[in-house]
Amino acid sequence: MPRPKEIEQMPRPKELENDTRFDLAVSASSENVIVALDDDAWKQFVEALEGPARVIPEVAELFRTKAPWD
Amino acid sequence: MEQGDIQRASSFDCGVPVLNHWLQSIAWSSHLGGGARVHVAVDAAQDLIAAYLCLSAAQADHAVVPSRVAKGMGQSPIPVVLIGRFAVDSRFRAGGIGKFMIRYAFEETLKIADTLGVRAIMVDAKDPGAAGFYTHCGFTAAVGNPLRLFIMIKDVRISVSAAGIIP
Repeated sequence: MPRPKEIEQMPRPKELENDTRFDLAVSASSENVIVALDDDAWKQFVEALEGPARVIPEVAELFRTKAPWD
Repeated sequence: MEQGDIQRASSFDCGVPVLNHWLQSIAWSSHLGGGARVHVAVDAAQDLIAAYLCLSAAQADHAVVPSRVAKGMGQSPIPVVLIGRFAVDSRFRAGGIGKFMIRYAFEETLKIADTLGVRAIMVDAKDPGAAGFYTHCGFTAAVGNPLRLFIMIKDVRISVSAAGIIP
C-alpha cells in the first residue's frame, strides 16, 4: 500500500456546478476553529505545554513498527 | 485523493454513515476551500480507499475567556492541528491501518511544526471506544471531557527520537 497522500484539488463535478450547498460547505470549513477547554482541562493543557517533553511509549512503539506503506 | 478516488470514495464504508457521507460528498469541497486537508490511504491492489483523515489548523483556548482577560492573566490561544475526521474502511480494520494513519498525522504535523508554531494535536473522539483508540496512540484525555484528547508536539518529537528515528 502506498503512503497516504493529500487529496488533490479536483474540479467540481459538472452536475454540481450550480449547487450552492457546496459553496456553503467550503465557507464553513474555512472558518477559524476554536477548541474551547474549560478551567480544569485548560490547566491540564497548559501544564503539559509548559512542562518538559516526555517520551510517550505508545508513540515510540508506533514509530518502531512498520506501516503497510513503509 | 486523485480524480479516480471520487469513484473509490463511493465504495468506502467505515460503518458510520455520517463519515461515509463526509468522504463521498463533502471531502473534496472542504479540501478545495482550504480550511481542511484530506488525506487518504489507497489500497492499490483492491482499488479501494482504506482510510482517510482530515487535518486542519485550529486554536485551543480557555473557554472562559472574559474572566481570564479581566484578570489580566491571559495566555494567548494555542495553535494546534485538529484531526477533524478520521475513518477506516471496515474491510481494512484488521490490518491495524488506523494507528498508522495516526502515525502519518504525527509525521505530517511534525513537518508543519518545523515552520509554524503548532504546539499540539487535538481530536474529539466520537465515542468512548474511539477515545480508547486515541489513548493507545499516546493521546491524553482532557480532564472532565474524556472524548476530547490531545498530544503535545514536543512529546511526539522526543518519542520519535526515542524510537531511533530523526524527526
